[in-house]
Amino acid sequence: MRRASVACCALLAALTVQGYAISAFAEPPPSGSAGGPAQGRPDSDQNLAAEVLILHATNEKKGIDPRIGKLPELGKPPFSNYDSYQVLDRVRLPLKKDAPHVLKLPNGRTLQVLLLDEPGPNSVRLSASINRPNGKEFLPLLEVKAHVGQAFIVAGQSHKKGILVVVIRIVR
Amino acid sequence: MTVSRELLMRYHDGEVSDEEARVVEAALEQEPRVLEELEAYSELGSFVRVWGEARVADSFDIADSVMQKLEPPIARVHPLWPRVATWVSLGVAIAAGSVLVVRSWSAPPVTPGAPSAMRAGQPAALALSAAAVPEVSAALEEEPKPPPATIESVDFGVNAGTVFVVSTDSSETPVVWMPDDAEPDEDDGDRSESL
Repeated sequence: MRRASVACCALLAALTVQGYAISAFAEPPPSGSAGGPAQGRPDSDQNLAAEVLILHATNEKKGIDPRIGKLPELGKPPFSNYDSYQVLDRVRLPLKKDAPHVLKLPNGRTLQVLLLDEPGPNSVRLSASINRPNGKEFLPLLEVKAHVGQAFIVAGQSHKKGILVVVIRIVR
Repeated sequence: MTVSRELLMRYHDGEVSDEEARVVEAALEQEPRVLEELEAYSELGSFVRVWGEARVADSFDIADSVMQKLEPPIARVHPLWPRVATWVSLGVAIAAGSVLVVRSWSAPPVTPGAPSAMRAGQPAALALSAAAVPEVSAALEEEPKPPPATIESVDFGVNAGTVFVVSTDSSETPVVWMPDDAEPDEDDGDRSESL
């Protein structure tokens, strides 16, 4: 009987610790926190959103901006051809059907993001396009399927002795 | 007068008729040897009785001792449920602990730049740490690991471009690479300066 009591206590303790850890890790991020250049436009609810991180890649030996955070792709070719990455903008665009969001890029072009479909609870199909200031299309259409937490990159546009690297990550 | 040993024994045991008893008693009076033999039977009967009682006592002791030896194991036998519950509970606890450890390992670490920036009191550090939380939450939601993001279709228009995947230890990220050196934008002042 004593063994059973000890075992039950151990079980309860383990489950309690696990539940606490899961709830701590899964705690939703605070919305509306102040910070980077575009943090004044956060999504107030917990809907799907596209977090657009605009980087400027150069070879000016400035290193990698610590605000970028963990982005191991920058250490891989062709991104490793640049030794400096600076954060130019970080914007959170809500993803809603039939409601495209437009973001102006540092080179004057516009990035448009639209939610096409939600095939799963944590996956999306979205389209992205980039237009020139004169209205001409630069990247007419890009359709991507991604899960929450995953990202894709659009890079190569020239900008101030370097290129733009646009990282689009699906977040909730 | 001769009395048989069998008759004498039956007389000793009281299992003779009246006539046989009279014969035996007459012999007892006439022959001291018969009396001695009868007394010997009595002694023998007493001995046998005592010995039998002793055997009974011994056998009782043996049984009692066996029972005493059997009783402790019986007392140690516990119901099956507590043992099963113990092992099942320990197994579940170990499994829960393992899941906790695995999940803590699978969660992406906080970006290294955030702590130093926060110590410096820079507002951008708060934004960075806040942005790291969705990554942790997303990592938990990704179990089991979903397929990587895929580019289903792309239209480069009149421009040239390539699509490839950059693989790291933790992810596979699709990349659309579009250099635009060939056609400068009309109002791209920055590029005009570089040219």
